Amino acid sequence: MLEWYSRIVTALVLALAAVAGAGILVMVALTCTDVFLRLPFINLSLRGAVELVEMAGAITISCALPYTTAVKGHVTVEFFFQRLSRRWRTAVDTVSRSLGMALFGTMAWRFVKYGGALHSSGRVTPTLEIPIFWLPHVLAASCALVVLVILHNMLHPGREMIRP
Amino acid sequence: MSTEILVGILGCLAMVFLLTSSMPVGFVMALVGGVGFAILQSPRAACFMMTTELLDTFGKYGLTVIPLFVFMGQIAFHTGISRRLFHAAYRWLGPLPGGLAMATVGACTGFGAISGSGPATAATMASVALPEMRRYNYDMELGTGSVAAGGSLGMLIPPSVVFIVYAIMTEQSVSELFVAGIVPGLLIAVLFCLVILVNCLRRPHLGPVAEPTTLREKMASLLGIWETVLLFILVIGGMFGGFFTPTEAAAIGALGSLAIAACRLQLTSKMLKQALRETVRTSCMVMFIVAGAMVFGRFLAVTRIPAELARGLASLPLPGWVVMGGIILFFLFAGCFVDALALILLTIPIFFPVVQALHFDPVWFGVVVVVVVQMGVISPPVGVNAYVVSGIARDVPLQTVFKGTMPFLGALVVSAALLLLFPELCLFLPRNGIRGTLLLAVVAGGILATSLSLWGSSRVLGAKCAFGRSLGLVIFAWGGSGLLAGGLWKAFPNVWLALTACVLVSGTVFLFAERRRSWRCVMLWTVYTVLSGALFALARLVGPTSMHSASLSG
Repeated sequence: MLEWYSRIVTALVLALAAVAGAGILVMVALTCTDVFLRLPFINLSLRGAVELVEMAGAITISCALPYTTAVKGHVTVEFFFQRLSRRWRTAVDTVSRSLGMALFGTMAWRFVKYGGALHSSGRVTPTLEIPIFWLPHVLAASCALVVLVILHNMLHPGREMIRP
Repeated sequence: MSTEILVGILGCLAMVFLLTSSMPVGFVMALVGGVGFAILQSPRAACFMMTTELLDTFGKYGLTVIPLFVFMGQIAFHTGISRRLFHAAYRWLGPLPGGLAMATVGACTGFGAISGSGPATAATMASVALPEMRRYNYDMELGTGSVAAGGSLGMLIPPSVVFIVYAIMTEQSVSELFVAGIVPGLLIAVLFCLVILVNCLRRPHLGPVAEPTTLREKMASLLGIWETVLLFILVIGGMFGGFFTPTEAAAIGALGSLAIAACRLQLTSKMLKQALRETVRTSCMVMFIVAGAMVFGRFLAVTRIPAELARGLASLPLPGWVVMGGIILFFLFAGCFVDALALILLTIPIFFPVVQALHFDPVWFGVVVVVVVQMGVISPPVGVNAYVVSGIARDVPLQTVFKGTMPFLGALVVSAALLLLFPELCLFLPRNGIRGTLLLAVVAGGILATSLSLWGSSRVLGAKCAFGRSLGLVIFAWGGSGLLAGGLWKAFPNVWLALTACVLVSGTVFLFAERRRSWRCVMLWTVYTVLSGALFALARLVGPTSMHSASLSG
């Protein structure tokens, strides 16, 4: 059962990481195209390039969040924690991971609500008028996946879910 | 004490407590900021604030520069630019005592110009330089120390992720901060090389002299650094010259590094995947700390702690520099325990209003803070770079690496003191634009020409060679001294300061270049000094233009 849980979560995390990687390439492509089109002898511009790059940036970082958590890529202060006894370390680790799950669980729920609010108000980007209600939903999915990753890390302490 | 301030203080204490529990720094800041905001305002307002802050931060156009610069550095790393940089520096500096260690610092400086991360630079250089140092029987204390210290230059030399984040948090110009980091970065690199040279002259077994290289080999090695120079000019020149915004410069830099990789037939899908994976991880790590700091900053703003602290400290009957000294000491101490980027993000919302209230220059403060926290990445107990190097050189104990970094800490302390005493060191370039950069290039060219000619002339005169060659060198020296004198005059309107600097530079170079100190060389040095002075006076007569001198109050 745990094995299946681990496999499914890993597959989802890697799929989102692939989307994040593609987001970076899209940002490079969009920005460079905009710069080249602005050259004096071409004198054009890519309409809405800034908002497209902003969207790509938001998708990239949102989708990278579960992967970074899975490879334990976040900055932590280990100096004091490593000096605790094994029993204390387990207790402190459990409390801090539970707090992390509570934080991301709440955020996932609030992002769904926020996305719904944006959908009902019909908010769009200023230039290209693309609806943006789906962006909070991407973040919600990402936060929900982070909760699952933290739970996996809690069940398998001391090792990364995915090797970086 | 008002409720807001009490909740604020309790929030800060809770944050310190949670940080020690090994919870990620970004998570802690978001959690404490959110809960604190909920207590002071309402849970509903806190949830709304957190969702909008996170979404805004992740999609902020100014911050998209971070993944793009990280991507550029990753592609450059996988293309082997770091290895070529090291070999070029090795050809030039290898034959000197401790030359390989100096070459490592030089290559770190070059790699720092295309990579925004200190640990990444240290990891890259450790895998390239340490095997070479072992081959030449270098002491691993010096070897690992120089790699760890050199790696820290990546934080200061543009493009630097820490500067980008500081600029966004404090609403400063990213380009100005990047340019402000160039001179301090080069200064620290020179000081690191001096530390290595002095250590190896005192204890030659630390860094034995490597095989000598011919001039042809030296010149050929320069072909290996063209990619770095090209990327640096493209990115920093384009940004500073006003052609690109930072995000555009980063995207062009990333495209440039992809093009270089493609030209070298190294752009494989495996390499691209590895680079993207590392980019995704690093960018998310940085961006989540920024988002957490934004949430925490909003909470602090509601508590009014930063404003009250700024008002309280500004009204103290103490000079501004005493308060600034206290802030720097805090960064020095805390930098030993907390990651550099996280520390800056944690404390900037508190200290930046104080800096503003005391009328210190925000760009100068940013550079000084980065230099100070740079000490933290190579000092025990949590010096990240030392851990990275120790992880790669597995047979070298961690305490040996830390012992090796100690002399470099001294160099960092000296450079921090120089920045405190002479703020122009970092403010001159951003305040004087392209003209200032050209002026600095003129001064550097003058120093180089004078040094080369002094060294060459002493050799030629010592060997009693042809008169023509001596004359050529003297003319070369004259031109160099003229450039040096003129450039210094334009940069520093104070006559005597420029003249003294000119004489000091010539004299120091002379003393290093000529070991025999024969009367001919003493005369030569005197002639150079007089010529420099004469040219300097001429430059003043021809048309002195007073430059805008960067000022710093406080």
